[in-house]
Amino acid sequence: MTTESDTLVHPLAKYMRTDRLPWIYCPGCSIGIVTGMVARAIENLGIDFNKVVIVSGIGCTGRVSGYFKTGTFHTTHGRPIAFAEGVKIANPELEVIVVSGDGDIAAIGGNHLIHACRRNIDITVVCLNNFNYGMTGGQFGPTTEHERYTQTSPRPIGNIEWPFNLVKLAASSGATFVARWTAVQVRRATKSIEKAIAKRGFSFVEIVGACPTSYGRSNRLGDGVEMHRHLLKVADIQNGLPPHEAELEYDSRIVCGEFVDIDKPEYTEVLKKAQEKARSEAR
Amino acid sequence: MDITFNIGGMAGQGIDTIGDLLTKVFVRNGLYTFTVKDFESRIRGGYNFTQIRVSDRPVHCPVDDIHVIVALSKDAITGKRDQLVADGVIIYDDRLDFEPSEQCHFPAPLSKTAKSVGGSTRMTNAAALGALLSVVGFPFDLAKEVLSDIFSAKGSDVVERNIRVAQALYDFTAERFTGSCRTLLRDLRPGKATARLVVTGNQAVAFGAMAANAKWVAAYPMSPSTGAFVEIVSHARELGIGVLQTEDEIAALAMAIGASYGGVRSFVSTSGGGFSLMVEALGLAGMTETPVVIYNAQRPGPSTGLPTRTEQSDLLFTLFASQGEFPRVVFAPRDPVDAFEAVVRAFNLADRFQVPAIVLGDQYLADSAMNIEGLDVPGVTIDRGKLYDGSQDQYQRYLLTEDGISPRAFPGDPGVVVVSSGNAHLENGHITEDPSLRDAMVEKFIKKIPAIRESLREPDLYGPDNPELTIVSWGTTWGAIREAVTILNEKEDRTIAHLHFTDIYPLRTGRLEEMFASSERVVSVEQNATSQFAHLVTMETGHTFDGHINKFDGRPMTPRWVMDRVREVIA
Ligand SMILES: Cc1ncc(C[n+]2csc(CCOP(=O)(O)OP(=O)(O)O)c2C)c(N)n1
Ligand code: SF4
Ligand SMILES: [Mg+2]
Repeated sequence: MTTESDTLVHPLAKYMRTDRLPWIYCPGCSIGIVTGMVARAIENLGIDFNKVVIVSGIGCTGRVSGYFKTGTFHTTHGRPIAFAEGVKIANPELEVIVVSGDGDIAAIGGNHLIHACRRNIDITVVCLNNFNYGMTGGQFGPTTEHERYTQTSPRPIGNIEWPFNLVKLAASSGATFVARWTAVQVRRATKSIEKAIAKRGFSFVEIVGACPTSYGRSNRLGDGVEMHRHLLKVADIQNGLPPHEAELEYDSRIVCGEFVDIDKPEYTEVLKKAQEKARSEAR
Repeated sequence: MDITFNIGGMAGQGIDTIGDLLTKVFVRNGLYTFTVKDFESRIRGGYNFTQIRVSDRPVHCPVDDIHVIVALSKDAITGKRDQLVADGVIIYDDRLDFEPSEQCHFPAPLSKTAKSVGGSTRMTNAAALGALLSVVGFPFDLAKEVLSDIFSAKGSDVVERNIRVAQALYDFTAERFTGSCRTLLRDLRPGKATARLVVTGNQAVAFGAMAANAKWVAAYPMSPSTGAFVEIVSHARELGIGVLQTEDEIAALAMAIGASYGGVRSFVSTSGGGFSLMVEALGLAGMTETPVVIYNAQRPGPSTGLPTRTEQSDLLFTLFASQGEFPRVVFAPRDPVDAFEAVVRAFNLADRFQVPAIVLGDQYLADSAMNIEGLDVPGVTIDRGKLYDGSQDQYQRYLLTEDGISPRAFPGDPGVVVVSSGNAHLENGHITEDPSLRDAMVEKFIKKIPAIRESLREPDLYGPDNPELTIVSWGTTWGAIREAVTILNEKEDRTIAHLHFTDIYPLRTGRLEEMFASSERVVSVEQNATSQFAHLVTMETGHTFDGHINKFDGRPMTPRWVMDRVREVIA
């Protein structure tokens, strides 16, 4: 007979809604790993569950919020950053973390991303870049490389567009902390997510991951294990490299590291000061 | 003969393939099929099923009774067992933890044989096909044909291995599956149907757009509409269609309107959430009198709602979307053939009246499939409406005319410049705040409405004169309601009429008036909670309904569901 004390409990299970398991993800998908990174970062920082709000959009990655025991806000496709800004403005005491996919953050939500960067509002965005829209069956998106195959960029031509480099985009839009890791660099990525959360300013962490079911299959990249092995092979750690040199070429080189860590006035603080000033002048 | 197969399992187990294979077998054997897909918003796991209804007469909806379940997961047994008829068959993978309690429960080594004979559990679908063909007593050669059809692109080795797996299960089943259960399936024999084209609603919509010569198609993927876009993408090169997957739906409709201003027929496909984002551009199409066709495959809302399920709840939103007032055309086809025609008509009316046209489908139409004789592509006529003939001194895009329709010209046409604006404008397209011109331009818009109404079709009327009850419905609920009404009239001596709309707006009210006058009672049946179409009818006619029947659980209606509700209303 098994008693409760016999059952092994994962150290991070306390952050997860285990009653929602098994989760919806395919075998070999990176989303589970990224969920673990975020949970561990919260654990390492020792923040209260009820002081954390995880906001996500729609997509496979967007479903991450539903597995956390923190406050969660599962919003609409493309808008999680905007909803998150609202949450942060309403209560700057909260740690607001957006976890969502490349399509959600950079296609339909690209506008919100660049404006939140520019505004430098203190939220953390963790974007899982799996190079396609997993949830809707694997269409190309804003990070799909040129000539890659997807459901809507079929063989033999492939994608006729060119991708965003999300690190460059976030950095040039004004984010104060920008990092990129792949899903296999769990320790380093977790550390960056911790720093990102702790940062007083807009932080952007890209995790390059695998969608074996759609992107992997369409481009014959192998199963989840093979795709993750590949990530390990091509990851090129270059901490502190200027962000405009943080290249990403799936086949050969994915530059990883922390590329921006600067200080600028943070939006909610500026807002507060502006209000105080207005009030004192009114008096 | 009317037999239903339910094939269930987890996402990613290939149940769609089993369904496709089986459908092919039946279609080749002169039968009619109607297939619905029920799946969750996830790529792997969960519980999904494909349900195929087979008959020697055309069938247009799913039914509740199931005769054969094929289960690749335990949920697939427990999920549908209570709909299994007495002596119904359950064929299930023998690895599943399930104790057969009746002789018609048949554990079969589906995945084991796929692995041992074919070398991969992926071939479980071939195994299931073999077992199924044996159970229904069809010759094995059929399996060979359809497996070759579906897998030939993957090479002869894959085909061969699939055939061996199917054969193993066919033989195993022939030997082991005995008893009385088969009596139920005895009627299942080849029929005389010549309908060989299997289409989904999404495909029919796509074919409609292509047949109507849409040359610019933009979309952002969104269930359940994505299939229509993907279908067009797959033909884009051979047909010379510009297809663009945009960064969001705002861009999709904006680009489509731009392309239409530039002179080509353009089309976007989306679902309610995407249509919400398109509303701003819709207003621009209205104000600039730029034709465009929008396909909205509805799903239950609000917001993300139930992404893979069905509902008719965007109707009033569609009619009123955008600030301001302008004419538009709205269709809600009832099945794939109707969808093809509605899309073609939408293009023609959009061009003729220079308005946006919206085709409202839903997940049920989008994802369900049936076999039909064909689509009348050669019969498609293209009416681009009034085009500029060079007769003005200086071309005026918004020339005031008797019927409110100004001839269109396109930028780049010799000798013209096309000036167009979302602000209130003069006849030449430049901005004005002149009150009398504002009046004239609004009147120009409004004048089109009765003319559009006249070019739409009256609703389909079925049933006796002076009925005890008239059911009013629209869109994709047609099949289930028509079947329910037929059964109630024929078997229960009811006198029920069914008035069904495909052409929604501007609403034609002639037949409605007749039915409100001649029918004892009038009741609406809709796949939404608030009887939106009934509200439209009341708004346009002043008549109120004697009752409303509504379904909003996201699952399609069945004839039995409709009959039960109608009986409650009559009682
Ligand atoms: C307005 C709107 N348009 C489209 C969709 C359909 N949709 C849901 S998720 C998704 C893309 C998801 O891609 P990504 O953000 O990269 O997440 P992934 O599934 O790859 O993790 C799309 C297009 C939607 N829900 N809402
Ligand atoms: S479809 Fe891709 S992103 Fe979605 S769960 Fe499967 S592997 Fe992950
Ligand atoms: Mg993605």
